[in-house]
Amino acid sequence: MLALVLVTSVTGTIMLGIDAGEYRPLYLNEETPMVSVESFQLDELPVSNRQYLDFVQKNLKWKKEKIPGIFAEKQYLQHWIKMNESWQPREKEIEAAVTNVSWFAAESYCQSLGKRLPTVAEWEYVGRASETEADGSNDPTYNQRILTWYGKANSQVPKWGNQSPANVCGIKDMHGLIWEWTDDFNSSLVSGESRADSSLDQTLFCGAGAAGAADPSDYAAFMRFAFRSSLQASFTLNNLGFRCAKDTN
Amino acid sequence: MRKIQINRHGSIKLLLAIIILIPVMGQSADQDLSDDSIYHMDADWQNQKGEIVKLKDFIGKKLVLSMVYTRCPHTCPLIISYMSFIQNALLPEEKNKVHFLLVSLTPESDTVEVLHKFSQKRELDLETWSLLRGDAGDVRALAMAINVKYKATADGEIAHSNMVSILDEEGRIKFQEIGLKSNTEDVVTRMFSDP
Repeated sequence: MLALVLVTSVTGTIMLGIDAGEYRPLYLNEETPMVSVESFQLDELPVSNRQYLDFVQKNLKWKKEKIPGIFAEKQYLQHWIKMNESWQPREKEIEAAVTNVSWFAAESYCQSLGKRLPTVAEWEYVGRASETEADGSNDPTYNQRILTWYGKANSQVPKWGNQSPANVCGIKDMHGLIWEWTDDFNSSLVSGESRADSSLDQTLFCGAGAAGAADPSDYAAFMRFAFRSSLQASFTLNNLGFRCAKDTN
Repeated sequence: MRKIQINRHGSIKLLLAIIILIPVMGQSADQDLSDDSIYHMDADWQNQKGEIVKLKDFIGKKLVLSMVYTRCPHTCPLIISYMSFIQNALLPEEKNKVHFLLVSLTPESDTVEVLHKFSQKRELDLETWSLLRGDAGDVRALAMAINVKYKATADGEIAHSNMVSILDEEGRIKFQEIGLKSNTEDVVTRMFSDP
């Protein structure tokens, strides 16, 4: 169901091929259709400070001192330091995952490499895989580990990635390191207008609504949807980064 | 677009002058823009005549902006009617200060021809209305900037925010009408009121 195809892009970033498939989003009831995901490619790791520095050096309008407020809050790249008139990551943090970036910045980074942000559906499809199962949501210990991370106070940057084993898709650090931007992060609410599932808002955000959800035990996914819907595209948070995706050619 | 026209003139000097000048002009214009202006977005869009335009081309006008799609059966006709009512509520001296902008949420099916036909069917005055289509990523980015949410639904429609945004002459959101509940004369009054 999930392929293990190694794709190395020109920048040296490893992308992995993900096979098409379908999954049941947590917030839908048993009668609503599964969500289909086409095959696509996903970065093995979140984008690092070094990679992001390379991007702003080539795309000057995304430099900390230049970026307009409509694209990012003032805290944009606030963990970087000013050296020789230009902002850059601390030397020791250069390989850590970049955070304090807005959706606009993340999207533009991916576009500059011919990539895009993954959709919510794509992210969740891969994110439910554990180290051993394509669908780790049935594994109570897997869910518990994710929830334990959510329960921890937000630690400061740097966010050292690549320390934990990959999931069965070969993707690392989807949980336990940072939250990640998705292309359509704020669109889960509008689908509540769909006539097929008018109770979506309620099932997504009310504890009582979880009783009607396909898998009430997947509380971790509820947390992610709630977090995403609290975001705006210009927000910059010190635990929010991103990775890129790409259509399969 | 600009470059193609210049190539037709065949003047290398002019082309060089423009290549040198454009970045300089672009930079100073961007610096003049207010921090939260949507005119920082410099994507190319195509209008109902097939012309390439940038959002920045509307600088200096108040904008009444909505993101819709022409196949939309329910809310979009209401949104467009609401925008027409706003236009009708303008005083004669206000009419040339406001531009009405519809941006397609389905640029693949809303081709230039479809947009043009749609503007005729809805009898939109193309002096004061523009219909735009763009790259899917640019549509998503604009939607993010003005907080429009949309998503394709299983039945082939697009669920989207039922909203009209009013922007000032510098491309800043002055206010947004969510659910189209306000009286349109009231909308015009607020549009022309001081911040």
